[in-house]
Parts: sequence; C-alpha cells; structure tokens
Amino acid sequence: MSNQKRRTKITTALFLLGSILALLPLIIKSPYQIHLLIMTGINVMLAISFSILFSAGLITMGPAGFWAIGAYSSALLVMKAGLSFWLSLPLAGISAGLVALIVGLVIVRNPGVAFIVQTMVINMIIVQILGQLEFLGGWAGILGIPNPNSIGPIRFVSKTSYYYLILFLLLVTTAGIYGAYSSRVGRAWRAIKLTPHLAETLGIDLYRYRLLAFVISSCVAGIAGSFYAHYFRSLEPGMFSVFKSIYVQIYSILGGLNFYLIGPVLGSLIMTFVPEFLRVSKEIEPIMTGGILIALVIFLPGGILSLPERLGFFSRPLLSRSRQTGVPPSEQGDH
Amino acid sequence: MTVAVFAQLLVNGLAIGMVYVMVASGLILVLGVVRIFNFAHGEFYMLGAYTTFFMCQVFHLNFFISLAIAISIVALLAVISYTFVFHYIRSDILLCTAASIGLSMMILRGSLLSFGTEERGLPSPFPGGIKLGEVTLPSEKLAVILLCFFVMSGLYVLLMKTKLGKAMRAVRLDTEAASLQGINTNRIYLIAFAVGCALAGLAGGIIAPVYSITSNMGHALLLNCFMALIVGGLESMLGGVLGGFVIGIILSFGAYFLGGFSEIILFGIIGIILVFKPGGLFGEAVGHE
Amino acid sequence: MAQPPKDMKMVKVGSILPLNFGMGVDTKNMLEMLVAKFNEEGGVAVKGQKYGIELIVYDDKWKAEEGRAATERLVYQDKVKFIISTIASPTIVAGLSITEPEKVLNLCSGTTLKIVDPNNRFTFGTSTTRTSLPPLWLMVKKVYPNAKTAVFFAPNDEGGRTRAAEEKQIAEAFGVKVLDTLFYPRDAVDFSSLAVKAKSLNPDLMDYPGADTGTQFGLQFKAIYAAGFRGGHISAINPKMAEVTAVAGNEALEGLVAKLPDTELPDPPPLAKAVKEAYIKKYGKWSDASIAWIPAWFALIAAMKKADSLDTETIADLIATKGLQWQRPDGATMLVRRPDLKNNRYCDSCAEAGYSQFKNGKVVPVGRVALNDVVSACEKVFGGSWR
Repeated sequence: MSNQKRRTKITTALFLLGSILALLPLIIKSPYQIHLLIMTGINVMLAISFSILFSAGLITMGPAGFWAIGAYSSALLVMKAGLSFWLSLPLAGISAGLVALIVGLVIVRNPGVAFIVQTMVINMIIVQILGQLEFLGGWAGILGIPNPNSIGPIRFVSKTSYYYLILFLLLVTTAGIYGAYSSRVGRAWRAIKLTPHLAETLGIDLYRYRLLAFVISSCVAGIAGSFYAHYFRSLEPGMFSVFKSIYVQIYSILGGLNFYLIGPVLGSLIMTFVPEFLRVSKEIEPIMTGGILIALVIFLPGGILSLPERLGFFSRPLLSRSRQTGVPPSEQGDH
Repeated sequence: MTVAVFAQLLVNGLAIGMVYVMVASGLILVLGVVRIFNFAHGEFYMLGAYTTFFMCQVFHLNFFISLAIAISIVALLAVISYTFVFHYIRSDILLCTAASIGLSMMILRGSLLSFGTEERGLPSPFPGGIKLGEVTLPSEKLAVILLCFFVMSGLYVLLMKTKLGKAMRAVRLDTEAASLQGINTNRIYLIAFAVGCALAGLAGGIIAPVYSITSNMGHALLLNCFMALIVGGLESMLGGVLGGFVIGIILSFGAYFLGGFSEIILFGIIGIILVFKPGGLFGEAVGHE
Repeated sequence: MAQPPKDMKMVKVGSILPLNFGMGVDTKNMLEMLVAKFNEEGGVAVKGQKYGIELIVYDDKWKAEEGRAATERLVYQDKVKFIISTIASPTIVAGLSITEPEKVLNLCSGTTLKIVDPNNRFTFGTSTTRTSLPPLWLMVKKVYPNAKTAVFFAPNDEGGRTRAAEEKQIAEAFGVKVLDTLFYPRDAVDFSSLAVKAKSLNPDLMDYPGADTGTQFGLQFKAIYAAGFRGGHISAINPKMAEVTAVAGNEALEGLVAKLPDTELPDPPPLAKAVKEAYIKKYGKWSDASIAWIPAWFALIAAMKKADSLDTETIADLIATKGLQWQRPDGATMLVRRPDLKNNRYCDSCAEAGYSQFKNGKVVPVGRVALNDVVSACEKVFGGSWR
C-alpha cells in the first residue's frame, strides 16, 4: 500500500486507540484496575525515557535514578516550599534534566559498555544518598505527599482524575518525542545509532546529540517521578533501585526495541498486568512470570510488535531499514 | 590500630575478596567470551552453596567431594540454561539481560520453595584458628583464601596454557576470526558459560561453611559483585581479580572504620574511579566509537 | 481438613506477606493453618450468626509497588474489609492511603512507627516490637545486674536505626552506657570487622536491635565470639535457635538472654500447645513455624467478639477508645495508647514476655514479665499514661 494510505491507516488506528483509552474509566469500574492502568502509564513514560536514549545508540541502566530525582524534587517542592503541584511537575522534570546534564557532561563521552555501567552506578549512588540523608526522609522516605491541587472542578481524589492526568502527560510526551524523532534531532540520533563514524563525518556532533538525548530522557523520567510521588503519596529509596531500571529495560524489550513509542506501551502493559493476573498462583507467581519472560524473549526477540510482521501481515517491513537494527553498533563490533 | 586488628581485618578482607574474585571472574568470563551479562549469576552461586550443604549434611560426604559434586551440578544447570535459553538470543545483550532476569526469578523462587524456608548453616571443615599473639586468625577464612587461590591458578592455567583456554580467548578477541581458524564457536560459548557459572557455584560452596546458606544469598552478593566489575573493568580477567580484592578490602576495613557509612564510601570511591577511568581500572579508557 | 459447618457465612480477610522471604512463607503457612482450624471449630458468632474466615494472601516481595497493588486488589477487587499481619513497612506505608479512606481495619504486624501515627483511625499495631525493649531491660537488670556498658549491632535501615536509637535511650535509663552503635548493611553476612571493633571497645553486653531472627543473627554471634568477646548478650526478639546454632555453635551463644515464646516452654500453656499441635498435625514439623507475625489474627477475632459486629467503623472506634485484650500463643496482649507519640488512641500493643538464657547449649527459661509490669515499664521509659 502507498505511504499515504499507510499513514492514514496508522493515524486512524491511533485515533481509535486514543478514544478507547479516554473512555476506559467509564467501562472499567474497579479502582484496582484503574490503578494498574495508571502504574502502566508511569511505566510507559519510564520506558519511553529509556527508548529515547536507545534511539541515540545509548543503553542506560539508570532511568530509575532520574525518576527518583523527579519524585523527590516534586514532593519536597510541594511540601517544603509550598509550591503548587502544577509548578513542581515541570520543575521536577527540569531538576532531573539538570542532574543529567551535569552527570552527562562527564559520562556521555564514553558510549557503549562504559555508559551502561556508569548509569548503573549513578542509580545506586542516588538511592544511597536518598537513604542516608535524614532530611530527605532517610530509608523510611517521605509520607503524606498531597494530591495535586484542584484545577477548577477537578479534584484529584478519585483514581479517574489521576488516570486522565497520566493519559494527558503521556499524550504530551508522546507528541513531543514524536516531534523530536521526526525532526533533525531524531535523524541525527538515528544516524548516531546506526554508524557513529559516518555520522561524525557528516558533521553531526556526537557528544552534543547524545547529551541532548540523555537530558531529554531524564526530563521525561523526572516528570513521571513527579506524577508518581503525588499519586502514590509516599516515597522510599527502595522503590528506585537498579532492579527497577532493569525492569524498565524489559518494558521496552518486550514491546519491541525498535518501536520507540508503541513498544514501551505494550511492554509495560505485559509486565504490569501479567504478574497481577498471576496473583492467583500465590507463591509460584515469579516462576511463571520468569518463564513467560524467557519465552517471550526467545520466541519474539523483536518484541510483541514484531508479531504481525512475522505472521506476514505486512508485505513491506513496518519500519524503515534505519530503524531495524536491534543492537547499537558499538555492541555489535566483534560479532 | 594494632597489628592484631590489622591482621584480622586483612585476613577477613582477603577472604571476602577472594570470593568476589571468583564470582566476578566467572561473570567476566561469560561477558567476555559469550558477551552476555548474566543477572542470574548470583543464583548459580547460591545453588553451589546449597548443593555443597546437602552433600555434606544429608549424604555425609567429604567437603571436597561435595564441592566437586556442586561444581558438576551447577555446570549441568548452566549447560541446560544456555542450551534452552541463551543459545537463541546470544547475539543481543539486552535480550539476554531480560532472559537472565526471568531465569533469576525462576531459580530464586524455585529454591525457596524446594529447599524450604529454613536458613542453613554448614559446620566448617576447618575449625579453630592460628594464634598470632593475642589474636586468633580463623582457619576457615585462611582455607577460603587458599582454596580460591588454587582455583584461580587453575583458571589461569586453563585460560593461558590449554587449547580450550586459547580457543576461549580467541573467541573473546574476535569471533569471526576464531571460527575461521576452525574453532567451534558455539561449543566455546557453551563451555565458557558453564565454566563461568561453575566458578560462581564453586565460590558458593567454598564460602558456605563460613557464612550461611539462604536462598537470597546470591542476590545480595551480585550487587557488590557489580561493584567489583566496575572497579576492575569489564574487559579483562585481571580486572576482575583486582576489583574483587579492592571490594573485599574496602568492605572489611570500611566496616571497621565507618560501619554503616561504608556503603557510601564504596560508591564514592567507585564514582571517582569512574570519572577518571570510565572503563574501570583495567578497562578501556573510552567505549567503542 | 473437615468442611466448615454449612450455616456459616464467610468473611474475607486479607494478608499481604513477603513471600520471597522465608518469614513470609512461614507466616502464610501458620495463618492458613489457624484459619482452617478456626473455621472447623465453628468460627466466630456475631449477633447470633456464625461466621467463618476466608483468608486471601498476596505477595508483596517487600516492595512498595507490589504491596500497593496487592492492597488495591484486596480492597477494590476482593472487597475485603479486614487486613492482618502485613509485615513489610513499604507495603504498610504505601497501603495507608487506601486502607484509611476505605475504612479497612488494618491490624499490622510491621515495625514501622507510621502504624501508630495519630491520624490513623483504622490502623493498629499488633506486634510488640515497638514495646518490647523496656521489659527486656527489666530482665537484663535481673540477669546481668553488674553490666555497665553495651555495644549495639543494628542494620542500617529504617527499623534498625529506629530500634537502636530507642534502645539506647532505654539502656541509659536503666543505667547502662551505650559505647557505640555499629551499623551493618541490611543483607550483610560478614561481621568480622564490626566484631573486631566491638571487641576493642570491651563492653559488658552486646545487644542487637532490629536484627533478623535467622542465620544472619547467628553470624553476628559467630563473629563476635571469634573476635574474642566473652561478655553477655541480650536480644528483644526470639531467635530461630535451629538456624542460629547452625552457624554460630553453642559456645558463641552462651549467656544470650532472649525472648522465649510460650510454645518453646517444656510445658506450654493451653493456647500455645493447641497451636503447636495443630501445626505439627498439618505440616509434620515445628522447626519452620513462625509465630512472630500472627498476633493480628487473634486480635482480629477478639475485636470482632468485643464489638459484636463486623462493621469496621464500629470495631475500630470501639477498640481505639476502649482498648482490647487478647491471648496469643505468646501470652496475654493488650492494646495501649502512645502518648509519647502524640497518639491517645489505643493503637499499639504490649504483651507479657517470657525470657530465656542460653546456658551450656540449652535454652533455659529465666523469668517472665507480667503484662501490667510491661506496660508500667513502657510508661516509665517513654512517658505518659498508656492504659
């Protein structure tokens, strides 16, 4: 089918999806399931944060650290400085971005395995600092974080308002990031991911674009953190461990690493809902979740979104060639 | 600080360090040759400890025989894991990360449910100690140091002097060139994975009488093991050895001087090392460009 | 097991436990046994109608996210109005924003101080962790009257730091100077360095606020013995002796004064005996049994009976204003106020406590502090009127 028709089909599909998502709370009555959807939404934002860096050829093992910075900043700004949530939300994103900028100035110089390790260490350091400092609540954390200030008639008491808020945040983020991906910045990222050397010869400043990706990625994580803090109403350093960062990677992997926006959605849905469905199996649930994870990774290495393609639904590959590489070139070197 | 205290802290640090050296070496071997980061590595360490425990306590076998059985069982499990899981996705490090997390979940919960909730202790085959002035240096820790030293020497011989070792090093350097030389790379991946996990299992067995045997023991160790890898660098075995010692010594002396804050100091030191040598002390200074 | 009587209506009760740890699985097994036995024996009568309990247990893996999801599911999907025995602080804290507004009676087994926050209406602490220190020190004065100095080992987490600070205050109120508190990482196994340091301070007593009950505890004894310490040991918790002796050996534990549950007495009192026999009947052994986290179960039934109601508002307000007394396998327990924490509701628990001393490889009972004396000791140390 032609590009134009394809684009229309995809747009219609997205529009339908959007409508369904918007109407979900009217169908789903159980606050428990709305909670799961909200948590999925947060996880999607974290996975998008990971994907932004991945699209520029960097693998991060520390998104949870910047999520923490956003969460704690927002909680402190509202509780100690008396700011409105609507102000602390963007400020949380900015503070996460600032930390990323400072840290990134040093570590973005070394892409590849060094970067992975360094982001992991930063994650661990952030958790340690949050735990050791008493004025940040120490290991017990912060409690009694207030809900977002009401805007007009919307009071954030029931889950539905939170649901629409995260949906709105996701919409804004997705639109923004999609814009970035379609622009010169996105093309530069793809070039850097595919063949850094060639990109450099074309005049693309690798360092600056990577740093940009790192900062934007951390901002997204920070904003997700702010929402999380005011939804969960309590924070403790244990929530932001490296294991959470690894789970964030898994959200992207399961959905499809090469699908930078939809992949995170599907992966987060799976990893949030499957263990919950499996609660009935009580103590053997991790055995089943682990098994499913392994099976998915082996049989669908391209993620869930590679399924239609594998089953032959598309005559042409869904993604352009430049998006098809599974692993950043710096990893592929000696294969 | 008196000589006595220093000696105790040193022996302690070396003993912990040797265990980290073995576990980290296993992880680096797998990372270098097979190119996968195995998050379930700690679970093989734990299984080695449990197997040694069962062989000693239930079947009343000699400690060394139990260790040998433990290595075999852990290696077998590693072979099974590789053949059914990692073999298919070996080329993609992120997929292997996800799969190893899944594997870790399964092994961890499976162990808790099969071995029972009681935590275990194994009486030491090396009781007593060596008197040094007013202090007694525990024989079991000296034994750990010696045993690990022998194992690491054996590993060195394996990697440097045997054909298998040379094949592994060749694959690590350049897979394509290695296969052009006639090396069966798939077999080497399998063997390297098994050896790496067996190292962890052996470390678990060796340390089992000194501490305790619980299902979560691998999980807790793995985090510190990452630290050792970060310090030593992910690229070379020497890095793993150095990293293990550094971590062991810092943990031992750090706990004495700083108690609970030793963790922060550890991270601080690592942070500083990374700023100046991003690839670790023995790693490459910059990543691939 | 036999079927419960047919005219019994079932009430759902939830419990969120860390099933990734032995203690969680053990608590789950104990609770399931207790609930089944309870139903078999006819349940509880409220306003003339017999009710049995349907227990729903979820795993929180000691993580806030999981614990919160489990709480949401219990409250909104399973529609439970009673939650008991939650141990993990992350779960309790994360769940408070659901259980309080939804009027769920939440009888926690955890140790975090947030349970006894004055703003809570439906949350009560049924574990005696927060109140177990004063009676211990009464016993310490009896067994180690000449002790003047102590060193603490404590885990470097919320529980450990809180307990250590409290216990330091109490020790000094009882005339024992705390020379130092040595903190260790939560999942440490190597205590040699800390032991060397502790020995160099030469205290009369070693104490272990916030410690685990299993092999990690034993490793601390092993290390301190290896470092040459031969003084006294005290502990507010009841260690799992099988696990502790497996790693530490009998000499290292010599002199340890610790809590002794009634189930470990040579001739246990009726309730302890009944629970022990029922457990052995179902599972075949007692060695992996855990009674540390189950007081909430007995409290729940006692509360339902006292209020003669299943309405959580009625029950909560009644016991918060009038208190509650109940029996658990460990002896008589009662709810107390915490004026020192600005909470004048009956929100926390005190229990009579039996203690043992480890002598020549044997656990020997050394005394008991009656419930009234426990409360009085707490009042003296923390201040205010608790009754």
